[in-house]
Amino acid sequence: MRWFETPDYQFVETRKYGYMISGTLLAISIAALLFKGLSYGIDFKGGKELVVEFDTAVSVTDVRDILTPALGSQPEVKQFGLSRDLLVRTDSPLDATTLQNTVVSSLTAAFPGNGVVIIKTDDISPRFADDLKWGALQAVIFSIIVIFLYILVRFRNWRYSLGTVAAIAHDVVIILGVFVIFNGILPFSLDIDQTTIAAFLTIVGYSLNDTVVVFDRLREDSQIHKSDPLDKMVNRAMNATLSRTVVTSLTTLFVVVVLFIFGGEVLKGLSFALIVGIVLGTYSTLYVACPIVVDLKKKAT
Amino acid sequence: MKKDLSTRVILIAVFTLICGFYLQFSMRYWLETRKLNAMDEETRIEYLRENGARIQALRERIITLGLDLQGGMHVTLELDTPQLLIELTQGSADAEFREVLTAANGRAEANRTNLIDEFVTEFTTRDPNARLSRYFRSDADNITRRSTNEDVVAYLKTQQTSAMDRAVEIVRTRVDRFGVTEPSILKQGSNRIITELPGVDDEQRVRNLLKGTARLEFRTTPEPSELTAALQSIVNLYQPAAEDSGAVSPLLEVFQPIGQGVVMGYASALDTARVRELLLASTVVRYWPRETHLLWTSRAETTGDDGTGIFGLIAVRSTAELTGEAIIEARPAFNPETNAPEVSMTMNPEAARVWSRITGANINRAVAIVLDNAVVTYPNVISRISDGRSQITGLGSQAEADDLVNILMSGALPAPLEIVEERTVGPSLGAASVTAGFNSAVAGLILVAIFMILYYQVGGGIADIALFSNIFFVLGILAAFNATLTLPGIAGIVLTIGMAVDANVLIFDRIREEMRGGKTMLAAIDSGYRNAMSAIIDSNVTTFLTAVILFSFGVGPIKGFAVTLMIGIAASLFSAIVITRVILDYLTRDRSRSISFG
Repeated sequence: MRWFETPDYQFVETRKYGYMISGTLLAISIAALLFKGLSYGIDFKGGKELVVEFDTAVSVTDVRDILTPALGSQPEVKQFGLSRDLLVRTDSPLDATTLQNTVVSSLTAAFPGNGVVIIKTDDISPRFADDLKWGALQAVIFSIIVIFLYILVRFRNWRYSLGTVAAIAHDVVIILGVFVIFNGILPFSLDIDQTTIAAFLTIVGYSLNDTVVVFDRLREDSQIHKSDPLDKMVNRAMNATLSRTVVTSLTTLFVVVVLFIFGGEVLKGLSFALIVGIVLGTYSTLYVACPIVVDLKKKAT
Repeated sequence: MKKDLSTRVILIAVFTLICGFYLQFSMRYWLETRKLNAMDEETRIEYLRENGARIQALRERIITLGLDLQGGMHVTLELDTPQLLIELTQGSADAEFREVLTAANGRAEANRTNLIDEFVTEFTTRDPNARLSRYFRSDADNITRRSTNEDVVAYLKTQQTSAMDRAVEIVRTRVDRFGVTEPSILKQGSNRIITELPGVDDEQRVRNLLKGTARLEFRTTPEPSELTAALQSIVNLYQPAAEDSGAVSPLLEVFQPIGQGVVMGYASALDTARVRELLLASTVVRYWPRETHLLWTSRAETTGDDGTGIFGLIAVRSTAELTGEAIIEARPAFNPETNAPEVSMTMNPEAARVWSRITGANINRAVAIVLDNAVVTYPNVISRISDGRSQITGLGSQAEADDLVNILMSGALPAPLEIVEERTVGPSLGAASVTAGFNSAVAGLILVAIFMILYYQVGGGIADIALFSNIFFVLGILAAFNATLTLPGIAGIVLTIGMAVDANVLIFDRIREEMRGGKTMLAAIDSGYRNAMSAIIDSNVTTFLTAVILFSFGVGPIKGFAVTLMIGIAASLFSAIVITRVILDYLTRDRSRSISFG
């Protein structure tokens, strides 16, 4: 089987369409971030989360109504994977022990004959959550700096660094936008927590991986065809590596889709981010990183 | 070329043997547990008696599952540094000191700076000539009235470090006495302790056990009739005017007054803070007898209609007559009459004399035993106790008695510990996650393997061999380093499966291209590997770097993700470059055979 054996797509030529698509996606994402805002998970916000498992499924609204007076405030209740597992998130002032006892005793009283067990508890103090958020922020900033420097050292050209970092920023902003827009619409949580940050950094690594392969080819090519204009060289490098780009994206996409389907509720957010990220990362290599290198060079001459 | 081939074969063999050696422990342990689970109770006990030590030895060398996979409790504790500073003043901390401390603490938290440094800055800004030695003294560390501020700061920092070390030791002793298999207790930063307790299913006991300061106090109580009168006046004061029939008393809304003996009344766990606020408001506080302190009972007396616990409010004197330091021995016991669990304590001779005096002077009055600012029990004294013995009664269970003895005998913490993070996963959810992770890995592996064969034919088959050995190496390395496998860790392995073939994709695509360019098969293979190398290295280094960053900033399960990602990248480079090349060289050894790259 061979795909894209001798492709000759005009990526550089058609880059203004890429800029338009990216620009629109970025504008929508930034607007969503500004107007709707990020929704943090308890890792970054603090609070308490319980997963209660019933013997037979009960309604989410019933559980919310029963727990509201007992906890002193309305908890957030949603499905957690199985229909008989419910996630309860609360900012109730009760301490963990009292909270657990209260939830179990009031639910047992309300659903006689239906067993209730707590199978997962997370209790994060706001101060600790603040530290986690700070750590995540540092990780993101630090990784972008390291990547910029690595590309700079390896390719000795700041335009390549800038192109890469622009592609990464593009991917991360759009994924954040996707998380903001689809949170609450999709049947699983898209709150930003530690796991999503891990997914974002993996996407950064992945998107970079793609970009670097094209740049590497470009570097090799530019030694052979010294007289060719840059846009021609860039376009040739993208076409030469296209088959590889598509195949690797596909195999990686296979496994993350599998992870999304079979990986259980805990990994839903992570694998969803990876799916979106791989698609975006592949696109941004072709239509963000490389065109920027071309345009930066054009401006300079 | 031939010679080179044999060295590479030896390298692969050595690597495979090492990984196989470390993996066989996990394999054998897994077989043993399967065997054990199939046995009935009697044979199992018999079998364990004979082989228990061997299985235990195996267990120490297997890939450990993280708490999210085997179930258990992860708790981060934070030492209350402001309280530690107050303790270090040995009672000389005045209002001004506390004010400076609060301001410094706010800044330290906001700027993530050291509290002691912030405290000194705040202290000297307020009064440049003030000396810290006004509050801190220590004969042992030679801190006197004339010590400079620098000396005092150095002393405080040593005290902070040693307090942390002591706290870690005490937590470790408590956990060991509690009996957890393979707990992990680590110091993090200057004021946090991370405890990981696999398989713990009684979270409430663990919480109390970990954070209990073990600050035990014996307090006398004010005169009941005065208390009743005070409570009555306060209740009346909050009563809305008679003509305003619709209004309700803000106090009675949240509090059910009793005023019987030292029990002032009851309130729901939700309202405890509000009730104390109302009863101790500046407008009413003068009604209470002098030196009165209001404390909640340590456990709920009953449960309300909506399921919340109802706690009792007990009036005690504000100064402690005796503290836990007086206790030289504590052991769990049973009340001979009621058979209820209790803790029996023996005091040192000096404290015994004080106790004798107190009990003598308080016959028919309540004496409260307070643990960590909550009243555990408040019995009436029947007769003078002169042998220095006392009992803590009213305990819920035998386990509670055991834990209390554990806390009392492990020593008191230098300052309270607060739980700032707790994550508990039940064993059933953990088991479900293991299945989910395993299934994803297998399904992902099969999909990718089939695709590679379809796309690259024989080449794809060779890449698949590399892929399977990659998984084997990743697991082997995890076992060799005794690493912990978490659910995000499994996700990392699954992701590696998808990305591991990338090196081979790069190489094979390059080989196809070289062959299109007219090269012979052998030359194409050779330049394919050579030319793809720089792209492989660059792309893997960048992914590896992000994994390293994730590892250094992430915590807990995320670290597991980063670890498997890093190991996966390293192992995939080895398998995709070295192993596939050896196989290709072997297959093309007679130079006539052609290999299909699809």
